Amino acid sequence: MKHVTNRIQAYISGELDSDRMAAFEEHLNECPSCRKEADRAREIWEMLEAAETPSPATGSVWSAVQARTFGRGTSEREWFFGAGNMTRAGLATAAVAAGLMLGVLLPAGSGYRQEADSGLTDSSWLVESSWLSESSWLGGDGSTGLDDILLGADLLDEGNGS
Amino acid sequence: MPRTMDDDALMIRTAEGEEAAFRLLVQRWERDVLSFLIHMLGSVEEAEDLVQDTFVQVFRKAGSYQAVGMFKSWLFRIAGNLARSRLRRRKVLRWVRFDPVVHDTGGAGPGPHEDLEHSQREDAVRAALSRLPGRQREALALHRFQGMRYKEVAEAMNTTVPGVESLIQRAMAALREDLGGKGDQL
Repeated sequence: MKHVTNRIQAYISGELDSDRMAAFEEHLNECPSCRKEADRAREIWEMLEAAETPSPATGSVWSAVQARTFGRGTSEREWFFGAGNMTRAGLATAAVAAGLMLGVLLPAGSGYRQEADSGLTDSSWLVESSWLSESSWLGGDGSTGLDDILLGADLLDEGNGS
Repeated sequence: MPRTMDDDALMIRTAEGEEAAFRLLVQRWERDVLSFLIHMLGSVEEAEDLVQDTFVQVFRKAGSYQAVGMFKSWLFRIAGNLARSRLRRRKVLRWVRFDPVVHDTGGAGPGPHEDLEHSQREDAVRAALSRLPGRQREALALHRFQGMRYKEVAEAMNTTVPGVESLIQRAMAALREDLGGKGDQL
């Protein structure tokens, strides 16, 4: 007699078509070994009911989802970063603005001393004593850090589940 | 909008930016997604976070959704991907911090007046589920707790029907071994 233990789960799951189901049950009637296996599998299957989770309250996530999609509702981050799809754009705009500001300040502190000394602009105080010229956060290569800021924006956006 | 509008129709309207359609979808499915994510992560708090992320993804991908009547599988594929990603991250964090396995049923468990025997059974089954490999747990959660057919589970997990059957069979064998004679004791 050929045992059918490899299809027991499909049988319990109701995944057998009617012909196979009938043949399976016929076999179970004749085979105590398979019947015992099927009973035990069904017992475990029913025990899983104990792991059912209770239903949460309706509408519990809508306002948060709404804030991150349609830009309305409440969000802890909304007041600063802007809501939903605006998050990335808002951060990118802020990063570009920061970059432009640094772009104005940087020439004095990163290889443009000649121009500073030329008298066109008296920005030597920036070079001599500037915290800018020593600031490691600008990067050893004098980069503005804009890429890092934009990367940070991407990471934040990833964190938002995009 | 008709109350019985199907998911595909709601997705089409969502893709067109109709907020009411999207809201209906969220409210229709949030419980099932939360339940699935609790089974996947074992933490109510983390699951609630990922429910939000799941629906934000649904909204962002609405334009690319193919309305062929498989919304549930598509939805749970997104939720499953996020859950697996979270589990991977948790694994790395645990390796870095030597954290114990997170298994917080936080509020999902029985109250103090509930039957002790039921509570023990519930704990034992949940703990056994949490020890299953991720894909086995995912297949079992979708089939057993979300009532999805093997075909739908296969769609959600991007695999085949025999693949799903194999995952569920192995999950059940592992549970049987793990719970052992506890079924008789509990």
